[in-house]
Amino acid sequence: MTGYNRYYKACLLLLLASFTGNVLASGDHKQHTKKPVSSCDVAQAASVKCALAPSAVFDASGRLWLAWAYGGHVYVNYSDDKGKSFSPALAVNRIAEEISARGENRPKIALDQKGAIYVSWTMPLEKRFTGHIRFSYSTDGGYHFSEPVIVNDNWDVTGHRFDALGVNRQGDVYIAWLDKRDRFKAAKSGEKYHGAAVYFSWSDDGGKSFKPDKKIIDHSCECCRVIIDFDEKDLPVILWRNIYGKDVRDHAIVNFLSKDTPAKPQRVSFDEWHIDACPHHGPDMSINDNGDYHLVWFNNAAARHGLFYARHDQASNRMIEAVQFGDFSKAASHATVIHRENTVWLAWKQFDGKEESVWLQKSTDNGDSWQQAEKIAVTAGSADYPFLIRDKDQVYLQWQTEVEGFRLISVN
Amino acid sequence: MCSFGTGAMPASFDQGSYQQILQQKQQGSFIMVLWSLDCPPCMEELPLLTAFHKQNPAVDIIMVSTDEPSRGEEIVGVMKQNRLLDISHWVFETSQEQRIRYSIDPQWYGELPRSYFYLAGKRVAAISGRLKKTDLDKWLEASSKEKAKS
Repeated sequence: MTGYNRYYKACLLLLLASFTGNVLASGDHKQHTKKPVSSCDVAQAASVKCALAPSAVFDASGRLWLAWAYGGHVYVNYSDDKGKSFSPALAVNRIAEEISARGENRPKIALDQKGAIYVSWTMPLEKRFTGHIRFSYSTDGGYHFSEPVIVNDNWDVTGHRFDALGVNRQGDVYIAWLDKRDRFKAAKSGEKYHGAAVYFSWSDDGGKSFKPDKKIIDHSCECCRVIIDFDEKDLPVILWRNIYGKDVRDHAIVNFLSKDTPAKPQRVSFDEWHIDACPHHGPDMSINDNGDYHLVWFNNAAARHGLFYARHDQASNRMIEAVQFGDFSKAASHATVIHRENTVWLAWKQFDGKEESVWLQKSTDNGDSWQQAEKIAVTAGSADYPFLIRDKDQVYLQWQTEVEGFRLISVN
Repeated sequence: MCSFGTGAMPASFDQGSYQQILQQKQQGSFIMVLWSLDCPPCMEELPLLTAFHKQNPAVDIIMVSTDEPSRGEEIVGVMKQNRLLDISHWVFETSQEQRIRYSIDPQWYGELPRSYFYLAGKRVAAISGRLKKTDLDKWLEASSKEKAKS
């Protein structure tokens, strides 16, 4: 038995022992995970320790909600004490299925202001690089979830993967993803199609139905996460890694003119990373009440490489020049950004040859200048990506690590 | 050295494997290709490696998959399909992913495919992205010259 399988079986036992919800975990479905960073120990009670690539969000009451995959199910649970203890995990999908649960592609969770819970994930199909976008919701505080649906209205056996989920203040649910239907069509007629496309759909009835899919752009990168946030008009803004020309993988953003109408996408990074490869390294974004976009990304061009921060200024409609952060020689990677009024925090992962760490850098003037970076967390084993999340005015680092499990660290 | 017959599972590549390979290769010339089942350009690169391997069966190629060990059978299937099963195959011990990457090259950020070229035990090139035939030919020519010298 491999170490992974041992880990897997231990997780299964733990879940079976602690489960009080309506569906039991099944170990028959493997996770499409690259790094099982949580180590499951049957002696420990918290099943969240088993969580692979979890996503977390606070609701309006300060309750922390998690979504994560295990044994062919997406589970949701919550914590009322800032991650110290968790409710029993409830399975969203009753019938086990394949679930993407890895660094760039993990189950997502979002809540609206009334407390409805929305969950999305990618269900890989048998054929490589194919999948469908799945969605479910709960209007009773997570006791019951709706039967999961496939969001993408094209059901070709091709890629509909790397979902991004966002819910705005009005409760509109948006999902964007990387889609290969046009590539699939091109291949059938013997034509070449570079990369994937970005599509989106949205719901104005709390996830009961979704509008027809719309394409935002052709030729996006194929394996980096997509990000959604909402602007000052409560309209979505979507950020992704795009392919420019033959093989330049820089970043693009699109805002919306109305709820259903994306504007023309704009290029936001100009690092000219020529690469015909999967960077597995997507961007992040946080939009403030003025409509300024705080953006972070990674590129590895010879001339300009590392992590970058830039701001799109709403007032001037201009991008401020991108600044580099993190220690490139220490594998600075997978940056996350969040804001509160004029304060902006960046966090990212580094590795010094011995331990993985998360570093934090703060600006109190909307990203014009930055305080010195500080190391805020370390772990001796392997670690998931870091995420900054906010509970009203308080910012936290969410970090899943092999040794410590789920960590929620308060950030000043 | 790991050289697998049909159906053999890939060897586990952990944080010490890279140094072990270098020691075993000593002053040898070889190519190490890192790839993943989840990486479309990696799959698109395989036919080029197949053709190269067919034309140059004596060239030492090491294939290292960064997928989790539980996908060993899938890896073997892809190698078989691409007639590359008779070369050296490894798979990441993924719980050590960051450490393994660092042990190979601290400047490699995980983009795939990633290929390293060695001449007489020295790394002469590191290429991110799908290889071109010219990359392989260039190394082959240098490797032949190196061989002639010795």
